[in-house]
Amino acid sequence: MSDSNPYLTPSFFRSLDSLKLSTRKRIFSQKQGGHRSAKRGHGLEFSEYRHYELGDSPRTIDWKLFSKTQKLYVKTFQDEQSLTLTLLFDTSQSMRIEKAKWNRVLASGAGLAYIGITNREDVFVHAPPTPPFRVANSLTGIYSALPSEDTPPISDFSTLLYHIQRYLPAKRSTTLTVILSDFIAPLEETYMLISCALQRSLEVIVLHFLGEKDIHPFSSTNAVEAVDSEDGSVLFVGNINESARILREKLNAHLNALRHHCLGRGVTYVEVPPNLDITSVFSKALVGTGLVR
Amino acid sequence: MNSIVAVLLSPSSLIIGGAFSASLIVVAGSYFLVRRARREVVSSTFFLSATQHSTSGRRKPRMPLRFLFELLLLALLGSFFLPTPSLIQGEKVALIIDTSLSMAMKYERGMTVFEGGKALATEEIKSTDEVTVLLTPRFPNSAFSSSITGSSLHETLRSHKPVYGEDSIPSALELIPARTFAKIIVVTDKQKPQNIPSSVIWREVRGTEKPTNLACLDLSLGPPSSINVSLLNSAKSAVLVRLSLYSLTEKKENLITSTVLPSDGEDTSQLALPLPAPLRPGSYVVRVSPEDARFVDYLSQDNELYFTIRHSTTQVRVVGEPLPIASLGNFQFQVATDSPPSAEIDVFNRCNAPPLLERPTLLLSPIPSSRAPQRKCVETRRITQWNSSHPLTRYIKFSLFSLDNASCVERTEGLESILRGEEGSLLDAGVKNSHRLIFTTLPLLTSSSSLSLSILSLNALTWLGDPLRGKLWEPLSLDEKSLLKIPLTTKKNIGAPHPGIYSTSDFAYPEVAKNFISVQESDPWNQAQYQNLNFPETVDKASVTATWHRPLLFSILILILVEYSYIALFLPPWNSRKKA
Repeated sequence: MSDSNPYLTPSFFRSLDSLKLSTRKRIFSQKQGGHRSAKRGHGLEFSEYRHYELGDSPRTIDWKLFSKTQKLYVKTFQDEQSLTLTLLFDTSQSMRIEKAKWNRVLASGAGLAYIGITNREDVFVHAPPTPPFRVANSLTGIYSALPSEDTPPISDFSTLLYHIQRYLPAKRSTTLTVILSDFIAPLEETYMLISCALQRSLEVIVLHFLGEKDIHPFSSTNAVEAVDSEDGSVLFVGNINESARILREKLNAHLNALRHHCLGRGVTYVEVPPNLDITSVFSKALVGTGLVR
Repeated sequence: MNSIVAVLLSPSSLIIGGAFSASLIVVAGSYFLVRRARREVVSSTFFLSATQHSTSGRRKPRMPLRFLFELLLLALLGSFFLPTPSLIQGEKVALIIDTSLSMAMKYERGMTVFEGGKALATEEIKSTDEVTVLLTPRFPNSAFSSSITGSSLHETLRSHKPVYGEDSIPSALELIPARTFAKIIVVTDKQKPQNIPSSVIWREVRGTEKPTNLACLDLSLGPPSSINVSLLNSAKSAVLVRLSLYSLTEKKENLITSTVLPSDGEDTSQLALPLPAPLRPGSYVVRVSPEDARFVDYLSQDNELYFTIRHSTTQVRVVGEPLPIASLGNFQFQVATDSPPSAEIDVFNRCNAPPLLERPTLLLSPIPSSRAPQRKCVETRRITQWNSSHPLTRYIKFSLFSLDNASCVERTEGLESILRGEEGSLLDAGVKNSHRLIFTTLPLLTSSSSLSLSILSLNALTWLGDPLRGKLWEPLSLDEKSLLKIPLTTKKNIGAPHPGIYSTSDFAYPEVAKNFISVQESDPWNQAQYQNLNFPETVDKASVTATWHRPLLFSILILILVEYSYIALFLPPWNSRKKA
């Protein structure tokens, strides 16, 4: 994997060493970790005082405060638990038709997985149609978890939706779900995918990858028969310039609609244009969202 | 088939057909562009195809060209299922064209005035008009049928040329029922007379140059050693003229003599062609031609005159198209019929018959103006009764006669009344002194008399010249066929035109009958037809002549569909989506 992907270099991973994942919401988890939990528990961070109630452990009573106020108060602490990171890869052919775009997708996924396992998080990779599986705690584990050339492509966006519904737990857990896709699909399906992910995750991050061919699909000004990489359908395009202009308009509208939708649902939206350096994705784009520190 | 061709050649068809033929080039070009389009794999055609859905969903204004195509398609589809619509309505137009010889004058760009007039007439008349054409002086028998359309006018007029004769435009205008026609157009080189109604569109075509023309007007046998030729020289300058005399046989012409003589520079001049020997009985032709090669002779058909010499006591004049008898002068032809008159016929044009009739006699009453004042003549206007079995009345329908104050003949003993008017007999015939005798008051000698009178004259002469064979009323063998069978017309290109009529001539009364001037008029039974031309009934608008042609319309529809699909390929939104 590292041989074929120019982004996956030791220096790339070294640049991620200082980063750790974060969530804007408190997480629920069965496993102790370094993240604040929504549960009051036995963490180190003070949360609040409350009146003593029957059944509370006497050890939680703040006796110093009792000596001052003559009232029983219980001291509560924020519980700290680990999160589960799920990387959802869009493995459709449109993602893989352009090598540079696909490498950037894999590198981004590998970087996120690396940050996760270095901070003792549970990292899962889900690249439909392959069922999700946990990433082993090593770089080799990361490489082997990423989708490879052998991973069959999914036919359309609804397949992605199907896999989320099938494999992600329906109950909100500590999961942080990152969707890596180009979102070239009807907006309705995209919205449904995001909603579905939201129902199963505390946090959802959308990494929207765009390739050079997504923005400039035609290499010449002559008439072409455009072959769809996903379903093989052929579309005759006679007026290239006019077609490209309208395509850019439609793409911009699509991006804006998706961005606004994510903003309204509390979903972190990160656009990764083709000219953005991959290290900048982490050091600027993701850090800027507060999800990576 | 002709109607299909006419529709295909109509302006609307040509415009539409031309436009779509031109668009075929675009379609062919588009087709080759499509064929040479290379394949290119894109990540997804989602945004390309999604454009179409979003556009049609919001019903954006379509591309103007495509929108026009759709409108055209709908209109054509609608018209295809509608009854054949009328597009253009023409008018009924009467066109009178002067074909007199002066129309042969030089006009512009080498055209004659006549050709210029034809072009002018073609411009005046729309292709959808329904045209009745009258050519003068060949009027009235030259009136074309009313089925001629403006589009076929040029083709119809192409074969016509100026001819001899006086134009009779006023007569033509009198004949035409003015209310029937939306327009009456006269094309001539003459000025509009004062008495012509203002509604008549008078198109005057003036020549730029007078024609220089030589014409052989007349000839007469002079002394045995020469022929006197009357020459018309339109050049009005003295020119050298070659006179040639040919004898005619069944197969060829033999030159007898040829002489160059100077004309005297006047309009007409008399030239004497010397003969090497007296002419024997036979058919001859005299031809004139300018000796100077620079002299442009505009009409070649007037350069020759045919004549026949036959020794007989009865001389018969043959009058051919289109010379009226009055213009013939002394030029005489001699007719050899199958049964030529063997006896000399006396024609008396006086009231009192000679006391002793020794020969067959045609006794004519004097014209009313010269009638002896002491005589009492009863006048009549209508023929009421006639003996239809008599040889004198063959080929004649007397019901068509209209008399102009004809007098009644005096009763002569032994003669039978063949024609009777309201007041008495108009023609008596019979035998006296073993000779046939006809006594009539009908104006047989008037050259402008009606055709029936001409036929009556011919019948009279034939009957009188037929030798008596014991049976007084023996029918003659002369039938319609033999009427036309004269030596001059049995050979092509020789002699007078075949529709001829015969007129006897003795030295005192050279003019007896007039000519037939066309095949139609030569047929005695056709009188009613040519005298009563079938002008169209009063209709303001002519029938529809330009219509949609369904097969043409169908092919246009297919073309539009093909072109529409190709244009859709090259203009967004795209709609050609197919499985590879």
